[in-house]
Amino acid sequence: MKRKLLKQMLNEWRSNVWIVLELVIVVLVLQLIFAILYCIFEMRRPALDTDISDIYVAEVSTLDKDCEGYVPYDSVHSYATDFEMLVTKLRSNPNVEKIGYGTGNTAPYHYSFQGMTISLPGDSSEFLVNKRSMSPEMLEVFGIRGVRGETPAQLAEMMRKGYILLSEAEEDFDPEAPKAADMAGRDVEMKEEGEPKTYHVGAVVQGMRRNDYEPAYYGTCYAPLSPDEAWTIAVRVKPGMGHRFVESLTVADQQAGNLYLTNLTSLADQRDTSQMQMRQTISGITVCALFVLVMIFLGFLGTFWFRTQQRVPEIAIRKVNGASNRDIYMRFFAEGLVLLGIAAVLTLPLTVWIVMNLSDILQMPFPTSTIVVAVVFAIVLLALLIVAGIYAPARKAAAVNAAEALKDM
Amino acid sequence: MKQRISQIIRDMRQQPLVATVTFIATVLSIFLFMVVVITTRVKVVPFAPESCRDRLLVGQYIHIADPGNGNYGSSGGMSYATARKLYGGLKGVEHTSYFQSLQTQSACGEDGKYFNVYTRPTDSEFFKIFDHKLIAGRYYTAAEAASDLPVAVVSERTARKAFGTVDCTGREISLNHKRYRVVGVVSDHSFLAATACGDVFLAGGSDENQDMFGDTSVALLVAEGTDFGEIRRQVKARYAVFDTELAPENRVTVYHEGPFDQETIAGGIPGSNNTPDTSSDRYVRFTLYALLLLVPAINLSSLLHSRMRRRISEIGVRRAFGCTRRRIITDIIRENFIITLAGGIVGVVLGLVFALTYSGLYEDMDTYGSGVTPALDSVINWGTILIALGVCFILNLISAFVPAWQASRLNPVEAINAK
Repeated sequence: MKRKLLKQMLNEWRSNVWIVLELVIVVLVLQLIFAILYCIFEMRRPALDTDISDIYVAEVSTLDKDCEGYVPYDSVHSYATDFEMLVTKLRSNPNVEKIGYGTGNTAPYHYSFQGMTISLPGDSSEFLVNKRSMSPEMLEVFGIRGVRGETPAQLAEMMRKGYILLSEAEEDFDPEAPKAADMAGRDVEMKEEGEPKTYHVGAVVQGMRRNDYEPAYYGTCYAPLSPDEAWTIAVRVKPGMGHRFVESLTVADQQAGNLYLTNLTSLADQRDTSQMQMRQTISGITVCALFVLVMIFLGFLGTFWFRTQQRVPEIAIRKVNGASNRDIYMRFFAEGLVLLGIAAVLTLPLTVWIVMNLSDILQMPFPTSTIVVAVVFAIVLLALLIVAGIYAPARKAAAVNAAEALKDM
Repeated sequence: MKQRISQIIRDMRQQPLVATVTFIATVLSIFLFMVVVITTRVKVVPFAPESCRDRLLVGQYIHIADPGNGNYGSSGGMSYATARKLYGGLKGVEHTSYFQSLQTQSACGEDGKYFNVYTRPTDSEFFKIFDHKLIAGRYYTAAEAASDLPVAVVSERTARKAFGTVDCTGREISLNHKRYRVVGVVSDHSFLAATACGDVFLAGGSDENQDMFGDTSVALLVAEGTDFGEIRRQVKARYAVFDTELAPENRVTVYHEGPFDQETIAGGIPGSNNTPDTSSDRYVRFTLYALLLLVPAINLSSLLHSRMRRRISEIGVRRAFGCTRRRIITDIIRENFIITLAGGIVGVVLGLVFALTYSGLYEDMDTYGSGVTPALDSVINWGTILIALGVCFILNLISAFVPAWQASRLNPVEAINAK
């Protein structure tokens, strides 16, 4: 039976070559698409391990000197006093649970990277961190926790003492570099623009990525900040406020002295805007995958429909000789799956080679499981599509009335 | 021709499912190809206010390295002083404009209602490079921009929101609590013109920052016939001069092949400390085009091959009556082209409608999250029509040639006897 199937397929080699050629391309493309999608989703992790739906972030701007209401700064009235006033005003808002402030890169989904190196005294090896300067309350706004179970409030207390908090790098970017865990509870030197300053590390805490798709190859350093150096504010509002929080604020609520809030947006919206390109990439390659799958479906449907018409006498003879409808179905399905098998074998070496080199081409890490996942997903999905495409022609073939068909010969 | 079309229809009626599958596959292929082409082309084809894209170069960032201190370096936007130093007064440049990136500001019109607008401080040269269509008033002058006078040119949409009319020159709009006098109103435009777009343009464009870094970009309108390479050579020489100034501090500039042309901008400038890789983007783009053509072409070829087997006897009779192989091939390709063209027209129309109505296609270009839609002339133009025709032709040729060639090589006697 199997030998006869292969012989028959060989007889139709012209038609089958086209299908195999198409399948080779499609298998290859699908495997690459699944490899990329798998790696993207493997990398994906929330930049901040907390519910961000109730967090809002805003920048603080200063009135232009020509503006009505601008009061020049003096020895009593300063940027810092205006800033404190603005924070106090927002804190007193009944919808606000927590408020903190920081610099531009305090919150995630902001691409500014303040790269610093930290080392233990007397040790030349350095630990690369992204320094995020903030008020202690910001840890509570973001719900940052310690790896030993310290609560955000406990960590905020540490920061009030002037301690810094460190997180480990996600990947082993520099195996020689010291770990954050080695520095916990010790004094360290942080190089800021080449000049070393001594800080005490309070605890090892959760890290913060720049976005959901970029692994942190560096640690995060949460460092204390005074209000005169801050220009970003983050608030955690009462759960369920949603966009009503922004709508509930009047212009007066957002202004104090010479300062006012600009770009007040929810962190979730900022995330969506900043990751638009990645979402577009994912949807683009998904559409590509769907396109080739639909093409395969149509291709098999059309070709096998035609084959059914061509093979009516053959099917009739098979039925006369005792073949059941199931046998007819299986023969058609087997034909499609054998063609897929040939294409899969032909593409495997190329897939392995390309996936091994994709890491360099696309500059993203590819776990070793990628090849297995990509091959299995692509083949299983294609097999299902092929069976679906062949189903209607096979059904038509099984419905052939042997007596009628043979009479017409 | 009439006879050929009736033969195609008869052939399709005989095999309705295969014909339908062929037609759907063609429509789908052309539709997807056109959507991909259109979304790629709107990033590079000239349209107002960026009708100058073919002659436009943009400089954005500066990267300073500190080789004596490990991997330390600083990179970011340029200050006005840095931008002038690197890009001012270049030979072969007709107009040079200094402008800043878009900022969200809170606007307040005469009715006291607040709304957000995207503002862009620019010099007066900006309007000589970018053709923002003036519908009321005037652009601000060089003197007004140089003096940082609080004057603004607003878009039609902003004028209507703030004043309820476009006839608002001389009236005042508040932006982040500062009052500006409106001197002109320009027509609304697509934010896909990412370098030139904005709701409100403010006279200025030069930041006060005297440091190296700031928020100034520079647009260069290159003279007709001037090679972009020549401009880049001049800029590279400016970088070398800058290095001599930085030498006492033991720092050097890192040149990233700027200023960038529209193709590079469309591919996305990878930050301030990387060199854009246009050739790699192009490679990915052409691979995608090839894939979108090749997969359906093989599919259609396979279907055509099946259809040809139905017509073996007919081809045998034609060959017996002296029809040449070449004639058989051209007839089959012509017939198939009519089907491809019919499917192509449907696919192109669907593609155009989709490209014009579904803004999700341009999300990656929607830097400001304002929900962009493309300008009509950036989607429907001669270039798009020619590409559509070309795609139909190529798809037809790839899919029909081999089955036609095989059909032409049939032995007439065997073909006539075949069932």
